[in-house]
Amino acid sequence: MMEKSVENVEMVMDGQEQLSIDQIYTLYSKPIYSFILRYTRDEQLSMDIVQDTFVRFQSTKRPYDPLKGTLKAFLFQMAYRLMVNKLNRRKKWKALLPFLVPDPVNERTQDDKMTIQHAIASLPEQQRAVILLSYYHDLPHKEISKILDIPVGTVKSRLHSAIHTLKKQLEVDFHET
Amino acid sequence: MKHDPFQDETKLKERLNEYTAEMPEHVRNKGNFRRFISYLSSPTQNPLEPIMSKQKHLSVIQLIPIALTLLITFVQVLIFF
Repeated sequence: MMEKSVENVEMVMDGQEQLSIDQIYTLYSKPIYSFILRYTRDEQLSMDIVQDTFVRFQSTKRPYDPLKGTLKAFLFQMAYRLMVNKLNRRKKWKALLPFLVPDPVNERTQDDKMTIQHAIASLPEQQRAVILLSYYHDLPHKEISKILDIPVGTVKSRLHSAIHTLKKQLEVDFHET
Repeated sequence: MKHDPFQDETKLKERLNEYTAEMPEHVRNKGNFRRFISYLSSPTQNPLEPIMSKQKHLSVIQLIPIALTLLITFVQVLIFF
Protein backbone atom coordinates (compact mmCIF):
# COMPACT_ATOMS: atom_id res chain seq x y z
CA MET A 1 0.00 0.00 0.00
CA MET A 2 2.77 2.38 1.01
CA GLU A 3 4.78 1.52 -2.08
CA LYS A 4 1.79 2.18 -4.28
CA SER A 5 1.18 5.67 -2.82
CA VAL A 6 4.83 6.62 -3.26
CA GLU A 7 4.68 5.40 -6.86
CA ASN A 8 1.59 7.52 -7.46
CA VAL A 9 3.35 10.61 -6.14
CA GLU A 10 6.20 10.01 -8.57
CA MET A 11 3.91 9.71 -11.59
CA VAL A 12 2.54 12.96 -13.00
CA MET A 13 0.05 13.61 -15.77
CA ASP A 14 1.46 15.79 -18.55
CA GLY A 15 -1.30 16.39 -21.04
CA GLN A 16 -2.63 12.95 -22.00
CA GLU A 17 0.31 10.87 -20.80
CA GLN A 18 1.55 9.88 -17.39
CA LEU A 19 5.24 10.57 -16.81
CA SER A 20 7.68 9.48 -14.14
CA ILE A 21 9.95 11.99 -12.40
CA ASP A 22 12.87 10.71 -14.50
CA GLN A 23 10.96 11.32 -17.70
CA ILE A 24 9.91 14.77 -16.53
CA TYR A 25 13.51 15.59 -15.67
CA THR A 26 14.72 14.41 -19.08
CA LEU A 27 12.02 16.46 -20.82
CA TYR A 28 12.23 19.72 -18.92
CA SER A 29 15.63 20.05 -17.21
CA LYS A 30 17.37 21.35 -20.34
CA PRO A 31 14.71 23.96 -21.21
CA ILE A 32 14.70 25.21 -17.60
CA TYR A 33 18.50 25.33 -17.54
CA SER A 34 18.70 27.26 -20.80
CA PHE A 35 16.02 29.72 -19.63
CA ILE A 36 17.83 30.44 -16.37
CA LEU A 37 21.23 30.59 -18.09
CA ARG A 38 20.01 33.02 -20.72
CA TYR A 39 18.34 35.11 -18.03
CA THR A 40 21.21 35.22 -15.53
CA ARG A 41 24.28 34.22 -17.59
CA ASP A 42 25.40 32.30 -14.51
CA GLU A 43 26.07 28.60 -15.13
CA GLN A 44 26.42 27.69 -11.47
CA LEU A 45 23.19 29.39 -10.52
CA SER A 46 21.38 27.78 -13.47
CA MET A 47 22.50 24.29 -12.42
CA ASP A 48 21.42 24.95 -8.83
CA ILE A 49 18.02 26.24 -9.93
CA VAL A 50 17.41 23.15 -12.10
CA GLN A 51 18.19 20.91 -9.15
CA ASP A 52 16.15 22.98 -6.69
CA THR A 53 13.19 23.06 -9.05
CA PHE A 54 12.98 19.27 -9.25
CA VAL A 55 13.58 18.84 -5.53
CA ARG A 56 10.77 21.28 -4.81
CA PHE A 57 8.56 19.68 -7.45
CA GLN A 58 8.80 16.37 -5.62
CA SER A 59 8.34 17.82 -2.14
CA THR A 60 5.87 20.64 -2.75
CA LYS A 61 2.70 20.76 -0.66
CA ARG A 62 0.78 22.15 -3.64
CA PRO A 63 1.29 19.48 -6.31
CA TYR A 64 0.79 20.01 -10.02
CA ASP A 65 -2.85 20.19 -11.12
CA PRO A 66 -3.31 19.45 -14.87
CA LEU A 67 -6.53 21.49 -14.87
CA LYS A 68 -4.66 24.68 -13.98
CA GLY A 69 -2.16 24.57 -16.85
CA THR A 70 0.61 22.58 -18.46
CA LEU A 71 3.37 20.84 -16.55
CA LYS A 72 5.93 22.85 -18.49
CA ALA A 73 4.42 26.14 -17.29
CA PHE A 74 4.21 24.79 -13.73
CA LEU A 75 7.91 23.85 -13.69
CA PHE A 76 8.98 27.09 -15.35
CA GLN A 77 6.98 29.06 -12.79
CA MET A 78 8.68 27.17 -9.98
CA ALA A 79 12.11 27.73 -11.49
CA TYR A 80 11.41 31.41 -12.16
CA ARG A 81 10.31 32.02 -8.56
CA LEU A 82 13.35 30.20 -7.19
CA MET A 83 15.59 32.26 -9.46
CA VAL A 84 13.99 35.57 -8.48
CA ASN A 85 14.32 34.69 -4.79
CA LYS A 86 17.99 33.77 -5.22
CA LEU A 87 18.74 36.91 -7.21
CA ASN A 88 17.01 39.08 -4.59
CA ARG A 89 19.01 37.37 -1.86
CA ARG A 90 22.18 38.03 -3.83
CA LYS A 91 21.26 41.68 -4.18
CA LYS A 92 20.93 41.94 -0.39
CA TRP A 93 24.30 40.25 0.14
CA LYS A 94 25.81 42.49 -2.48
CA ALA A 95 24.58 45.56 -0.61
CA LEU A 96 26.14 44.26 2.61
CA LEU A 97 29.33 42.68 1.26
CA PRO A 98 29.82 43.84 -2.34
CA PHE A 99 33.04 41.90 -2.94
CA LEU A 100 31.54 38.50 -2.08
CA VAL A 101 29.08 38.36 -4.94
CA PRO A 102 30.52 38.31 -8.46
CA ASP A 103 28.68 40.49 -10.93
CA PRO A 104 28.54 38.80 -14.34
CA VAL A 105 27.26 42.02 -15.93
CA ASN A 106 30.57 43.73 -15.20
CA GLU A 107 32.58 40.81 -16.55
CA ARG A 108 31.62 41.50 -20.15
CA THR A 109 34.36 42.05 -22.66
CA GLN A 110 34.37 44.49 -25.55
CA ASP A 111 33.63 41.70 -28.07
CA ASP A 112 30.69 40.64 -25.93
CA LYS A 113 28.98 43.95 -26.56
CA MET A 114 28.35 42.90 -30.16
CA THR A 115 26.51 39.73 -29.27
CA ILE A 116 22.90 38.82 -28.80
CA GLN A 117 23.85 37.63 -25.30
CA HIS A 118 24.71 41.18 -24.36
CA ALA A 119 21.59 42.56 -26.00
CA ILE A 120 19.36 40.17 -24.02
CA ALA A 121 21.26 40.75 -20.78
CA SER A 122 20.80 44.50 -21.26
CA LEU A 123 17.03 44.21 -21.44
CA PRO A 124 15.06 45.13 -18.31
CA GLU A 125 14.41 41.99 -16.23
CA GLN A 126 10.66 41.96 -16.92
CA GLN A 127 11.13 42.19 -20.70
CA ARG A 128 13.96 39.64 -20.65
CA ALA A 129 11.84 36.92 -19.06
CA VAL A 130 9.00 37.49 -21.53
CA ILE A 131 11.14 37.33 -24.66
CA LEU A 132 13.05 34.26 -23.46
CA LEU A 133 9.89 32.35 -22.64
CA SER A 134 8.15 33.42 -25.81
CA TYR A 135 10.93 32.90 -28.35
CA TYR A 136 13.18 30.15 -26.99
CA HIS A 137 10.53 28.11 -25.20
CA ASP A 138 7.60 28.80 -27.49
CA LEU A 139 5.20 29.39 -24.62
CA PRO A 140 1.85 31.07 -25.35
CA HIS A 141 1.08 34.43 -23.75
CA LYS A 142 -1.38 32.85 -21.34
CA GLU A 143 1.24 30.49 -19.90
CA ILE A 144 3.84 33.25 -19.73
CA SER A 145 1.35 35.35 -17.77
CA LYS A 146 0.93 32.47 -15.30
CA ILE A 147 4.66 31.91 -14.94
CA LEU A 148 5.43 35.58 -14.35
CA ASP A 149 2.17 36.25 -12.50
CA ILE A 150 1.22 39.20 -14.70
CA PRO A 151 -1.81 39.88 -16.96
CA VAL A 152 -1.78 38.66 -20.58
CA GLY A 153 -1.95 42.26 -21.81
CA THR A 154 1.25 43.06 -19.90
CA VAL A 155 2.95 40.04 -21.50
CA LYS A 156 2.04 41.38 -24.95
CA SER A 157 3.23 44.90 -24.22
CA ARG A 158 6.47 43.69 -22.63
CA LEU A 159 7.14 41.39 -25.57
CA HIS A 160 6.53 44.24 -27.98
CA SER A 161 8.87 46.51 -26.01
CA ALA A 162 11.51 43.77 -25.79
CA ILE A 163 11.48 43.18 -29.55
CA HIS A 164 11.68 46.91 -30.17
CA THR A 165 14.59 47.33 -27.72
CA LEU A 166 16.47 44.31 -29.11
CA LYS A 167 16.09 45.50 -32.70
CA LYS A 168 17.27 48.95 -31.76
CA GLN A 169 20.25 47.64 -29.83
CA LEU A 170 21.32 45.12 -32.46
CA GLU A 171 21.02 47.71 -35.21
CA VAL A 172 23.34 49.92 -33.19
CA ASP A 173 25.75 47.00 -32.89
CA PHE A 174 25.62 46.42 -36.66
CA HIS A 175 26.63 50.03 -37.20
CA GLU A 176 29.45 49.71 -34.67
CA THR A 177 30.90 46.68 -36.49
CA MET B 1 -5.82 33.21 -35.10
CA LYS B 2 -2.62 33.36 -33.07
CA HIS B 3 -0.35 36.25 -33.96
CA ASP B 4 3.35 35.46 -33.95
CA PRO B 5 5.25 38.62 -32.97
CA PHE B 6 8.46 37.21 -34.50
CA GLN B 7 6.89 36.39 -37.86
CA ASP B 8 8.28 39.39 -39.71
CA GLU B 9 11.47 39.68 -37.68
CA THR B 10 13.77 37.52 -39.82
CA LYS B 11 16.96 39.34 -38.92
CA LEU B 12 16.16 39.40 -35.24
CA LYS B 13 15.32 35.69 -35.32
CA GLU B 14 18.70 34.95 -36.91
CA ARG B 15 20.45 36.79 -34.12
CA LEU B 16 18.33 35.17 -31.42
CA ASN B 17 19.13 31.72 -32.85
CA GLU B 18 22.83 32.43 -32.35
CA TYR B 19 22.28 32.25 -28.59
CA THR B 20 22.59 28.58 -27.66
CA ALA B 21 22.64 27.26 -24.11
CA GLU B 22 23.75 23.67 -23.54
CA MET B 23 23.32 22.02 -20.17
CA PRO B 24 26.31 20.10 -18.81
CA GLU B 25 25.72 16.41 -18.06
CA HIS B 26 26.77 16.47 -14.40
CA VAL B 27 23.97 18.70 -13.10
CA ARG B 28 21.96 16.05 -11.31
CA ASN B 29 22.51 14.83 -7.76
CA LYS B 30 24.75 17.60 -6.60
CA GLY B 31 24.81 17.63 -2.82
CA ASN B 32 24.97 20.64 -0.53
CA PHE B 33 28.65 20.00 0.19
CA ARG B 34 29.51 20.14 -3.51
CA ARG B 35 27.44 23.29 -3.86
CA PHE B 36 29.37 24.87 -1.02
CA ILE B 37 32.68 23.88 -2.63
CA SER B 38 31.48 25.34 -5.95
CA TYR B 39 30.56 28.54 -4.13
CA LEU B 40 34.00 28.72 -2.52
CA SER B 41 35.75 28.12 -5.83
CA SER B 42 33.61 30.57 -7.79
CA PRO B 43 35.39 33.74 -8.87
CA THR B 44 34.71 36.81 -6.76
CA GLN B 45 35.68 40.41 -7.06
CA ASN B 46 38.84 41.60 -5.37
CA PRO B 47 37.66 44.11 -2.73
CA LEU B 48 40.89 46.08 -3.13
CA GLU B 49 40.75 46.19 -6.93
CA PRO B 50 39.54 49.80 -7.26
CA ILE B 51 42.29 50.90 -4.89
CA MET B 52 45.01 48.78 -6.50
CA SER B 53 44.40 50.21 -9.94
CA LYS B 54 46.50 53.27 -9.09
CA GLN B 55 50.15 53.15 -8.06
CA LYS B 56 49.58 55.92 -5.54
CA HIS B 57 46.86 53.93 -3.77
CA LEU B 58 49.07 50.82 -3.77
CA SER B 59 51.76 52.74 -1.95
CA VAL B 60 49.19 53.91 0.59
CA ILE B 61 48.14 50.30 1.25
CA GLN B 62 51.77 49.30 1.75
CA LEU B 63 52.40 52.20 4.10
CA ILE B 64 49.30 51.68 6.26
CA PRO B 65 50.78 48.77 8.34
CA ILE B 66 53.99 50.73 8.90
CA ALA B 67 52.04 53.79 9.98
CA LEU B 68 49.89 51.68 12.30
CA THR B 69 52.97 50.05 13.84
CA LEU B 70 54.53 53.43 14.44
CA LEU B 71 51.31 54.71 16.00
CA ILE B 72 51.01 51.73 18.35
CA THR B 73 54.67 52.08 19.31
CA PHE B 74 54.17 55.77 20.01
CA VAL B 75 51.11 55.04 22.19
CA GLN B 76 53.08 52.43 24.14
CA VAL B 77 55.94 54.87 24.61
CA LEU B 78 53.50 57.48 25.94
CA ILE B 79 51.94 54.98 28.36
CA PHE B 80 55.14 53.51 29.83
CA PHE B 81 57.38 56.60 29.96
